[in-house]
Amino acid sequence: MTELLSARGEVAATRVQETLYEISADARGDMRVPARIYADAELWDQIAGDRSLEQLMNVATLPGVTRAVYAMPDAHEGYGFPVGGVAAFRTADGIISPGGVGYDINCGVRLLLTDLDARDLGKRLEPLVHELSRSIPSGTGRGGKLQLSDDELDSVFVEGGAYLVERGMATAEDLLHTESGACLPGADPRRVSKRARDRGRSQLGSMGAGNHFVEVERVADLFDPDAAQALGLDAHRVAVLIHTGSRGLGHQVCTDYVAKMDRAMTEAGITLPDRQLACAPFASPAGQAYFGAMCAAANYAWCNRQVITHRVREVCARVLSPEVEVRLVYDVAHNIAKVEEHGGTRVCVHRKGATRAFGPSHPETPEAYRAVGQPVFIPGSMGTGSYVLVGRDEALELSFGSACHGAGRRMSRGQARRTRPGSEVRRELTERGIVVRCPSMKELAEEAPHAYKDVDHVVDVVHRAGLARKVARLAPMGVVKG
Amino acid sequence: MENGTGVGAGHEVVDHTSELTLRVRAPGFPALLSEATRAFGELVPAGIRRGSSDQAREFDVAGVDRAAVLVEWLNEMVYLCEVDQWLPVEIESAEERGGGVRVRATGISLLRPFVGVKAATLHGARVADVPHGLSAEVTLDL
Repeated sequence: MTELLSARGEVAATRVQETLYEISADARGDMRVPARIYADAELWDQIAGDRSLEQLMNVATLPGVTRAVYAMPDAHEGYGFPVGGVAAFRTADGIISPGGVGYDINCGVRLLLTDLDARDLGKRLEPLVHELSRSIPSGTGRGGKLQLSDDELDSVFVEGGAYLVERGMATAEDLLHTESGACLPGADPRRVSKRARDRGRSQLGSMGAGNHFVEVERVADLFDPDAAQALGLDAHRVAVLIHTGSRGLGHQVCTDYVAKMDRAMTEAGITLPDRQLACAPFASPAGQAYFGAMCAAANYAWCNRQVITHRVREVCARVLSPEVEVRLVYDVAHNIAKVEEHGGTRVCVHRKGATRAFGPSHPETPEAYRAVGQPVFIPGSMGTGSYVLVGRDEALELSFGSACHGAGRRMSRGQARRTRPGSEVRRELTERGIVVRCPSMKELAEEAPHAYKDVDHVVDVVHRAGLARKVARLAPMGVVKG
Repeated sequence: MENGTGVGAGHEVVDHTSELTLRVRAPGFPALLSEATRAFGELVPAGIRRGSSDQAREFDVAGVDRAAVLVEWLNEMVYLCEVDQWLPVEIESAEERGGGVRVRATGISLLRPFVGVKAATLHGARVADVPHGLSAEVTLDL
């Protein structure tokens, strides 16, 4: 075992395994549990180079925290909690923290699989991507085609995906292939402010800006043929990957409750290492109010990705063939707090920039995937590749059943723009046969592949650490950016 | 980028890995809010501004301290730009009251909602006394 210091010099960690580092609970007087970081030497250097470790140690001080706090291989500095952080707090005497979920509540990824072979797509790729960009609002300022009344919003909050089955935009099978059946039962519409409703009213079925996307993919590499078969992934199959969340509604829920909890803590004279860690006891009225609003926002996010799925199906029928099959493989959240049982204790697991990764034996793994484990999706940057993995039973002990959520940025947006102009990025992608639709050259430059970490490396560490098992790599054919 | 108006007032927008930090300085708190308003306005693309300034609006902005008030005001701007399609550009007055500030601002209409900023955060938010005024820092989630 090797004792290491972080790049900032103030954190001592021990490398306990090839892909696991640990900061002991006595490293700082206020820590209640150890901090564990899944990384190899190279990723450790990246994680230790910013304030991620300090933030993880801060999380380890919060009341009711249990076993250990974890950083995934793609972890980086966030607000309060690090992005790529996982922590569980006992529901009986622990806290819930809006900063532990993040602003984009239930940001997540879903994978759709068609029955088409990528080699047969030919000249239909360009119109397919073009029509997707026209049908799915993206970029700054464009809302969805739906304008929801308060009653309709309440139905989205309470029923989640089931509401869209009633409206003909989802199937019963879609719900079976979505985490939690596309509905968290704890939603309480009364806890969602008018401001949050105003921001979400016209955004259902829209992608938003930043790193959100809809991509047309082909199944490029298979690492685990048996698991791939269970998921229906054949080589060359055309797939669609969707990455978005709860839009302005979720952002406002987080804003509202961080402010409320910060006010309550300041008035009570409680000082935290970072005000964005503001929290309340899970069982308290304040904690339950946030939980009710967060569940409503999470259900909105599942509906958002489902409405986009409906649009993808419409476009595929129009551009490709009315008979084309577009099946939902799975939908999984990566910014969420959920009540789960671990080691016989009820805990509220915060996954901020981390994906749930339950193994074959877990009762919440969909029946269709009981032989292999719950699907996990780890998108790379625009133009590189994305990965399909499956959860492992061992991950329950290793990380409360969690894996990473992406490659993670390594450059600021400004630096990315200065490094390579959008026109050059577009030319490079086009030369590789990738069709791109993006609101502007500026956004294209900001989301260029060189602005992100190497997803192959991150996924490799996830696989070697035993958090999830690599199944397939997807290669992009068309990109619609938010 | 660095910018400023008036003696002792100015701001810079600092680009980090996945967010922006506004650094603002001004002779007093009302001027600090004005400068932060200008800094936020720089993030809104020129192409979506209608141009003309319209009638002033009033807002009560609450917070347990000045840092919280500044964050709350910027979150008000996030909401106004996204829902009302209205960008505050000039603060006519900012009167400090117990537990907050009454802000009177003029602004311009936007051609479409601006959703480029998710929220202003309390992460590292601070307003500090410096010689001849105040300096502040707020991180915006994008």
